[in-house]
Amino acid sequence: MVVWLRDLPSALEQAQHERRPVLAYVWKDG
Amino acid sequence: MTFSDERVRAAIAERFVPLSLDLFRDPREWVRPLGVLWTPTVLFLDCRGAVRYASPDFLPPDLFLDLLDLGEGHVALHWARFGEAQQLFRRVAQREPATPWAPEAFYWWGVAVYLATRSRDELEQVWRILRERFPDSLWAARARTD
Repeated sequence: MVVWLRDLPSALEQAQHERRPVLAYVWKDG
Repeated sequence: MTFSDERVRAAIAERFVPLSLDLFRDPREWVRPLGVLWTPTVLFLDCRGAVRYASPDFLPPDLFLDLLDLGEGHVALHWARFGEAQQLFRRVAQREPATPWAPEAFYWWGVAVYLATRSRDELEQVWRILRERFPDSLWAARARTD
């Protein structure tokens, strides 16, 4: 299951901790 | 839809920290440095937030799975994990039948080999295959060691 984070600083912190890249999906509403 | 494909979901969950950002509604200080002009865009970031690869728009699942290898490879390359980068690029380059990503993957496989070995001969071994298999590609035009 993919849990998409919505917070950039938290994603970077997790990436550093887990030594994994961030996959950022950038979209716009509407 | 790409993100509903089970293989795509498994690959993302196992190998990446997934982040979803709205170009206009999330904080500008997060989004502006990413340099996104078009949505949707998929970015591969290192742990400092630097964009190491960007891919605009949607792709069908098989092409997206290749993209995951390429994007992860680029992050590995910038983290000086050259062995890991080589494996990821090589996997895409050698996939049969050939994927549309193959010429690009061959090119970066050669770069990763060179950065690991500092050997122009080893770089040339990879790039020679690229020029032979995909002679009309943009990536073959770039892959010149002379």
